[in-house]
Amino acid sequence: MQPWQDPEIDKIREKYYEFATENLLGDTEQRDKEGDFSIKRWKEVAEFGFLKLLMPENFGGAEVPVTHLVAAIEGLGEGSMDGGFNYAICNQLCGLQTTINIFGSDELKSRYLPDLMSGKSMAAYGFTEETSGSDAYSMEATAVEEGDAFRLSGTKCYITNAPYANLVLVFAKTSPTRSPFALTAFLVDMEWEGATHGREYDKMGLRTVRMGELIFDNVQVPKSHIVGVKGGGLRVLTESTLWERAILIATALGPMARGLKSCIERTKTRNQFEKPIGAFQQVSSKISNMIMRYKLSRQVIYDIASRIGNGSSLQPHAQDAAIAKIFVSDNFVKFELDAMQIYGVRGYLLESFAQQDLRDSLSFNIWAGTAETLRNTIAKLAGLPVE
Amino acid sequence: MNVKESIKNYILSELVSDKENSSLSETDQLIESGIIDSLGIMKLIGFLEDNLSVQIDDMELVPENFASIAAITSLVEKKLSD
Repeated sequence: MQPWQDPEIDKIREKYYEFATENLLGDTEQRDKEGDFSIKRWKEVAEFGFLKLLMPENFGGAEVPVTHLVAAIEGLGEGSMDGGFNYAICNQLCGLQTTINIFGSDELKSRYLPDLMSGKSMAAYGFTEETSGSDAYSMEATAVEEGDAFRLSGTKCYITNAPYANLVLVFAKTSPTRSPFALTAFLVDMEWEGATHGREYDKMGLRTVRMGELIFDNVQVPKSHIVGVKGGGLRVLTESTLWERAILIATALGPMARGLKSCIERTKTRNQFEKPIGAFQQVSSKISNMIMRYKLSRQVIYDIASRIGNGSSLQPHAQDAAIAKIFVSDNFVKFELDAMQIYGVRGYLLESFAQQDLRDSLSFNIWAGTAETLRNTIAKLAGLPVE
Repeated sequence: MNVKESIKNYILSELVSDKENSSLSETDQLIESGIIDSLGIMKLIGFLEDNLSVQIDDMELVPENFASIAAITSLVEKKLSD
């Protein structure tokens, strides 16, 4: 039996689907228009146990297999229409909590994981800068060692959850070189002196989560808050982005499953020229493509998820994670374009799910490595002399 | 093939794209000279863990341990003898 055919997967997916339909519907369209985020919903999803799923039992987590997390992400996305919210909460679990779990000291885990799992704390991922994204070593944030602490200075941009996060995983250069050991990761409390929330960005998609800037001005960070080791930031960065590429990408599956049901229904019930529009091959072939895109995306994600141990390194799967990210992102965008066409002018209205999911889908070829960067990664991992 | 040869062969075949470095010596500075970049170091760690049966701990991820073929060999041999 393939992992995506496991009846246990269906049960978990259904459980999260029911939770989402009962608790997470209602105001998404309005919040999408206003670019608003719901902290209330964040706490509800946390209380339901979502943020515990991958976390170790000895710190209060549920420590489930990674495929079960994928099933939960599917259900959450299919039952709600809150793409921005789902991206943010899955990002906290896959990109941040998992990173703290793998690289953090027991002191950091016991101090911060319980509040992150309960929804009391919210975290952000402080990596991108105005001049540094895919080229990590052009980063300008620095951390200078001073006794038992580091002095952290720099500005992080385009950070999901930045406006309300109270905890940030910040990457900074602890060496001025472009060495693979020049970066260090720190866990920074935004209550500390010198840490402030900067401007917010208005964006076209994922509008139900907010994005902003984080400013660190000579923040004193205790050495105990290094995640991993000094100079080990590359490994932390690589691991967290691999989790995002392989698993966070599952946030595409819910909207595709929901959109598929809706589009199939529409092609059977909307009549033109005295026939359902699904009788026209130009339309039915779009549905066939959408089914292929959804089913293959699902298989790609469950395949890689079934090969990952909870809390283990994804480094051996680096190429497969890049492939999964490109494949699913590309198919998600094409799927949503077809959904728009099937709904015609109704899909173009701001009240339509189709335009919202399309706008959300366009971000998938950008976050955690653009499609272009990831194609370079695949080629480099195959031994090609790509610059 | 001994540990040093395995590491050298891997670096030459998988990480070095510049043919001028095909005569890499065991003391050549791999990181300072840019022979191994960030993706290269992660690939190398994967190679050491998968093919030479050692687990590179986070605390060992320091420049000194990956500065040259000699340094990497020393790290691996020490771990194999522990």
